[in-house]
Amino acid sequence: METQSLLVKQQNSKTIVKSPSLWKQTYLRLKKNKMAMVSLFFLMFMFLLSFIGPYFSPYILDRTDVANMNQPPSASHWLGTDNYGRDILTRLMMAGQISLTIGIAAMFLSILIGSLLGAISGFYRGIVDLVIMRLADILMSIPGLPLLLMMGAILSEWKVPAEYRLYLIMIMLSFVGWPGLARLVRGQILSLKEQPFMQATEVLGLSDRRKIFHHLIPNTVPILLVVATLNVAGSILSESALSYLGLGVVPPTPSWGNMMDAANNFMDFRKRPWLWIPPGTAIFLTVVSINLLGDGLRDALDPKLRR
Amino acid sequence: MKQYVLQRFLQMIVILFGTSFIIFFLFAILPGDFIDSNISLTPQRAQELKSLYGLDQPILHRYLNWLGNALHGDFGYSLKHQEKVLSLLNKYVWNSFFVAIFALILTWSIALLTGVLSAIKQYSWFDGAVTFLVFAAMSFPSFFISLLFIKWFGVDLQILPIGGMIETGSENTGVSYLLEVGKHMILPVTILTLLSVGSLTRYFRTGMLEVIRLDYIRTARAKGLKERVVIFKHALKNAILPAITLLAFELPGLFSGAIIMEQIFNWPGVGRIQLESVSFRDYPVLMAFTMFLSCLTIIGNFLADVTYAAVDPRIRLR
Amino acid sequence: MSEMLLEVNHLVTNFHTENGIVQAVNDVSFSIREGETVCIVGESGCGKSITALSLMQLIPENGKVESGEILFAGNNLLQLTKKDIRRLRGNEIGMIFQEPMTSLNPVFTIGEQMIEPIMEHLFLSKKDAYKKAKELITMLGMPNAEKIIQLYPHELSGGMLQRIMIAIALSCNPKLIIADEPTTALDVTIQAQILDLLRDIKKEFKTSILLITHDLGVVAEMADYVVVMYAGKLVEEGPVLELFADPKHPYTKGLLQAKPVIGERKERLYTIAGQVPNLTDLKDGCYFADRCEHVQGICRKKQPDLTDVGQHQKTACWLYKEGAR
Repeated sequence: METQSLLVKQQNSKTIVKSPSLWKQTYLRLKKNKMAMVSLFFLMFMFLLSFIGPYFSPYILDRTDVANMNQPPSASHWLGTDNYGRDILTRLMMAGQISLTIGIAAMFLSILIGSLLGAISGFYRGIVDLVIMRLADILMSIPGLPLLLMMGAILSEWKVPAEYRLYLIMIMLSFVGWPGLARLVRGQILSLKEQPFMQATEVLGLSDRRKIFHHLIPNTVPILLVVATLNVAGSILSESALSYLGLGVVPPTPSWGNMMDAANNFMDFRKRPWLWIPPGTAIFLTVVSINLLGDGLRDALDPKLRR
Repeated sequence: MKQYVLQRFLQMIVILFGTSFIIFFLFAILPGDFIDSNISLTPQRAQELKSLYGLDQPILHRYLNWLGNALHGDFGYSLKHQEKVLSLLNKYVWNSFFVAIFALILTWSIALLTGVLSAIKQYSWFDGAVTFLVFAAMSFPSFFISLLFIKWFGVDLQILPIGGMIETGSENTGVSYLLEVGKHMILPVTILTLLSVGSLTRYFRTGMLEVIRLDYIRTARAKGLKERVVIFKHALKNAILPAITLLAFELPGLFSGAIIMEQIFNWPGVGRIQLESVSFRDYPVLMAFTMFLSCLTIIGNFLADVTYAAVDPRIRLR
Repeated sequence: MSEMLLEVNHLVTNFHTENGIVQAVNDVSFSIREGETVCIVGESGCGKSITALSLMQLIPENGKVESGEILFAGNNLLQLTKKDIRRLRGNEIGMIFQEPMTSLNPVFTIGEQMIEPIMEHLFLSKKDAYKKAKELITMLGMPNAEKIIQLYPHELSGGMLQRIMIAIALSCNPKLIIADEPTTALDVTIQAQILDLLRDIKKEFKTSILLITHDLGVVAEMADYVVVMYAGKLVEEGPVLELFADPKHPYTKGLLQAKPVIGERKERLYTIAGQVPNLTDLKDGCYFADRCEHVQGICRKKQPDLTDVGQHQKTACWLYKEGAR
C-alpha cells in the first residue's frame, strides 16, 4: 500500500496532463449527441421564426379580413386563415413569442426563488430550513393542474387586463415550480457542505454570503442547467393547457394554447384542422426538442451512465 | 422503525393542515363568488345569502368552521348542482377511478417491460426507438393528443366513439352495457397511459442502468447464475424497490391528468365536474376536489414511504 | 511438478472509450499449476484486474478480449459458448472481489445468496443447499451460522462479508480461486485473518489461487510464483524467493526498494519518478523507459520481449539482452 501512495505522490508533483474544462468537455460530448443537436437547431429555428419571422410577414397581426375568412392553406396564406380572416402563420409566430417568453421567464423566476430558498434552507438548517421545506412540501402535495386552475380562476375574478395576464401567468407557473427546485438545490448544498473544500472555506473564515454565492451555488449549476431546461418544457405545457381552457393567456393576445381553442367549436374541429393542428404541433415539437436537449445535457454533464 | 413511522405520521398531519389552509386561503381571497356573479339578486338578498353561507366572517374563523365541517364529511353544498359536495363527488369519482386504474395497470406494465429491456440492450435500435417514443409521449400536450385521437379514430376512421361514456339514449344493460362503456373507455385509457408512460419508462431504464453496473451484479455473474436470473432477480429487485415511492403520486396524478381529457371526451368524471365548477364559480366543489387530490397525494406519500421502509432491508432495521 | 491447471497465452484485452482504444492487457502470458498460488503485482491501472476478469469473461461491456488463449484444464475458455462459460463460473473457478461491502446484493439475505451457486451447479435441493451454506460458514470460522444466513449484507462487517464471499467462491469446490485484491478494503488485522484463511484453503483443498494485489507484503506471504505487470505488459516473472532476492527489471527493483523495511530507517523512502503512461497513446519503445534509471537508446525504439534470466526467472528488459547495446 505504501508503494502506491508514494507513487501517487510522485505523480502529483510532476505536471499532470491538463484535461479540458468541464464546460468544454460537456460541449464536445453534446456535439456528438445527434438528437440533442437536431433539437438545438430546431429550437434556434423556432426562436428565429417567432421573433424575426413576423417582420417578413405581409399580414398584420390582428387585422381582420372578412373576404378571406376560414381559408384553407394556400400559396398566399401558407397555413390558412381563421374565422376573422387573420393569417394563421403570422398568429402562430406571434403566439410563439408569447409562449416561449412565458416558458423561459417562468423558468428563470422558479430558478431564482427555488435556488435561493433551497440554498438558504440547506445552508442555515434549523428553523429556517424547517419552515421553507414544510412550505415546499405543502405546495408540492397540491397537484399542479388543479392548483393552476384555482389560480387561473382567481385571475379571471380579478378581471386582470389581457396584456398584464401573461406576467401573472409567469408568476403563477414559478409559484408551482419553485418547491421542487428548492428541494433539489437544498439536497445538493447539503452534500456539498460535507466536502473538504467547504471545510476549507470555514478555515479561511469566509463570509456566509461568499460561501453561498461563490462556493455553493456555482457547484449546483450543472444540475440546475438540466433542470432549468426541462422546466421550460413543463412551463410551456402548463401555459398552453391553461390558455386552452381560457384561464391563461386570453385573446386578443395570441398563444399556442389559446389558438387551439378553435378546436372547441365542433365545426372548426372537424372541418378546419388548419386552425388547431399547427399550434398543437408547434407546442409538441418545441417541448420535445427542449426535453431532448435537456436529456442530452444531462448525459453530457454526467457521463457516468454513458460509455 | 416505529419511531420513523410515528415521525412521518406527525409530518403528514402538519402537511395536511398546511395544505388545507392554503387551499382555503386561495379561495377566500377570491373577490367574487356565486352570489356576486348572480346579478338578479338584490343587494339585501345577497347579504342574507352571504351570512347564510357564512361568507361574511373573518378568514381564520371561516377556515376553522370549514375544517370542522370537513372533518365530519361535510364539504358544503354545490351551488350549481344543488347537491351535497360529498355525494356529488362520490357520484362521479368512480367513473374517473376506473379509467385511472386501467391506465395505471397498463402504464406500469408497459413501463417496466420496455424500461428493463431498453436498459439491458442500451444503445440498440430498440433502445433508440423506445427513447424516441418516450420523449414524444412526455411532450404531448394532453388536449392536443386527445383532439388528434378523436379526429383520427372517431371522425376520420369512425371506429371508436368520440366521447361520452355510453351512446346517447342507450338503454343497454348487463354485458352489452359493459361492452359499450368499455368501447368508450379505450381512447381515454390510451391517452392517460400515453401521458404517464414516458417518464416511468425512463425511470425504470435509468434505475436498471445504474444497478447493472454495480459490483453485486458482477458477483451474481461470477457465481455462474443464468443471465435471466441476474437481470430479473438480482437487478430488477433493486431497481424496482425505490419505485414504490412513485406509486403514491400515480393515482392523484392520473386524476389531475385526466381533467382536460375528461373535458374533451365529455367523460362524466370528477375532472369534468372540476372544470365545470371553475367556469360556474362553484367553489365548494372546486375546493373539495382539490383537497381530495391533495389528501390522496399526502396520504399516499406517507403510505409509500412506510411501505418502502418496510420492504427495503437497508432501511427496515435502522 | 504437478499438472498445469491454467495457461494464459498472449492475452490481449482492449477497451473502446471516448478517448480511443485502451490496451488494458497487452500480450500477457503466464500459467498456474494445481495447488499453486500465483500473484499478479502492479500499480493500479496496470491491467491486473482486467486480466483476472478476462479469465472469467466478466469484463465491462466496452471491453473485449481481442486475441490469445486461456487454457483451463485443457479447454480454451475463449472458444467456449456463453452457456459453458456460465457453468464454469462459480463452479470450477470461484472469484473474490475487492469490495466485500458492495459485492453482495443488499436486498437478499446471506443465505439466499449463498445457496444460489450450490443449487445451480451442484443440483442440491434448497434444504440441502442451506445445510451446506451453514457448514461452509462454520468451516470458515464464523460462529452462529444459523443466524448469519438470515442476515442482510449491511448487517455484517467488511471482514465477515469477505469471509462470506470466500464461502461462496468455495461452495462448489472449485479448482481455481481468483482473488482480486481481496484484502485492500479491509483493516490490517482483518487482512491477516483473510490471508490465513486463503492459505488454509489452499493447504486443505489443494485449490490453485490467482491472487491480484498491489501489496508486496501480501505477495511475500502468499505467493509461490510472481508475475509483475506494468502498463498492460508483463515485465517480469519468477518464483517468489528468487524474484524477491534478485529482482532484475528496474521496475521490480523500484517496487521492492519503495517498500519500507521494518527496523531500517531511511532519510527518504525510495520512489519511482514519473507516472504511469497514458494507455491510449503508447509509444513504440519500452513503456517504462520514461521512468527508468537505466534507460538507453534502444529502450525508446523497440520493445524488449521476455527472456530467461536465472533459472526460472524471466524479464522483459534490454539490460539483459545479449548484444543489445
